[in-house]
Amino acid sequence: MHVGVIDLGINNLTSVHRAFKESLEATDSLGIIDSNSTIKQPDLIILPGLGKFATGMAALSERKLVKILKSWTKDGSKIVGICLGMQLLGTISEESVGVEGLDLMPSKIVRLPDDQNERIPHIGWAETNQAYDSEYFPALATEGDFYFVHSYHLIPENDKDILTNTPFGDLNFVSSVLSKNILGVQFHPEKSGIKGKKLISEIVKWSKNED
Amino acid sequence: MKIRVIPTILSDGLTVVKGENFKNWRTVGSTEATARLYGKRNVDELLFLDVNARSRNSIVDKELLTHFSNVLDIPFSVGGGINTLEDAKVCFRFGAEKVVLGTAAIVNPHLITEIADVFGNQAVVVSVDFENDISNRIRIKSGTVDPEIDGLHFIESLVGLGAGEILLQSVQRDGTLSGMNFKRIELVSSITTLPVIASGGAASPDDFYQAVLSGASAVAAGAIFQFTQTTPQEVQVYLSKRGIQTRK
Repeated sequence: MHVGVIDLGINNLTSVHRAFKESLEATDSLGIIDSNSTIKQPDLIILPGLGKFATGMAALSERKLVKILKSWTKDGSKIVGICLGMQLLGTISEESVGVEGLDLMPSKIVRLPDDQNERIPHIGWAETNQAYDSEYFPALATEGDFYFVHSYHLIPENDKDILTNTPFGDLNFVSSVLSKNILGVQFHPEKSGIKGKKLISEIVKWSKNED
Repeated sequence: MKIRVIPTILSDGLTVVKGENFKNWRTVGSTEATARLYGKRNVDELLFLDVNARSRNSIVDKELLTHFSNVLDIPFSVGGGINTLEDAKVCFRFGAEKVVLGTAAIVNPHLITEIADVFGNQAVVVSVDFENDISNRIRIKSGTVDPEIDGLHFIESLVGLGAGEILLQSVQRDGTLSGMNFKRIELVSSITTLPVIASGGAASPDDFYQAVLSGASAVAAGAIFQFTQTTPQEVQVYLSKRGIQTRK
């Protein structure tokens, strides 16, 4: 299996690269994608991100990756968006009005509610509660928290795409989504200790499934 | 929101150091080994500050950052000598979740906005180092210079500038294990909507608890974890026994 990590120039590439490398087998390969030239189609695409929605999309456009990501995923490649990367999978964002996302996961991205007596940005550890029993990602259901650092969150058009919710004040926000080959996590599995490591190995396993 | 307990690692660029009142630095260990140890113990987050970077006219050593991201699967923030967007970019690329701006945030507040515009507000921590318990005067350049601005006014401007978090420090209490200034934590937490990391003087688990009751979202501490038997885990247990939510 071939895994491609997208390098937007604004992400925490080293950590994400390390985390996925640890979970791969000797026969798997891991490459960095920073342009659309001479790269083979990955079975699993990792879209890490840190930063503003507009900056992330601009970085994808500059590298001529928007079209190719759409065609690879249409063609069956699996993709996982992490943090801003999850939001880039969406359609539009309140953070950058007028900027189009990848639209691989029909959704809008909105700011966390400021009436919950919680401080924004949301920085720290929080639980994920499964919206349904996922056969692929048992780590999401086990005891323990993941690390979050964000001010915006994604709301999918289709409720069925919600994989987990996370409490914020009296409300919940969508902390991960899954629709066929498109996976997004708002938290940072690469920075979530042992539990994060477990989820990453499950993501790798998921990407090796044939369906 | 769950409260974070954050060990602070101060470095002179090569080794871990311990100081008092932002000076009298002495070597206490290896930076990488310290980071590795905290990583293994699964702490909530690490704060890594290079106290010497500004005088070397550089940021944290890239090799050291590489070691960090290789051994750490937990979040860490990096500060010391960050003067430009490019400096920040390097820190993020090598795995930092957040950068900490001190001197540069005060000398050139626009840098906060510049970094936040690219990496988002959540990625920019601004360190505000109050001189003592009495006045609202603050210090820059590792406590050596008085920029002659009111610390509270500066804090009030931070949301607008694009900061995502405040590291509230005290030069007077730094490294002294003399307890924390809860009144100031309460005051600062009340005038900002940003999360506040309280730091400076924590000497017992109860100091962390009081800091949280005063409004802190996180407490950072160095000396207590280096020079007493107290561990970050014990502090977490102490907090959660008293009804404060911590990482599970």
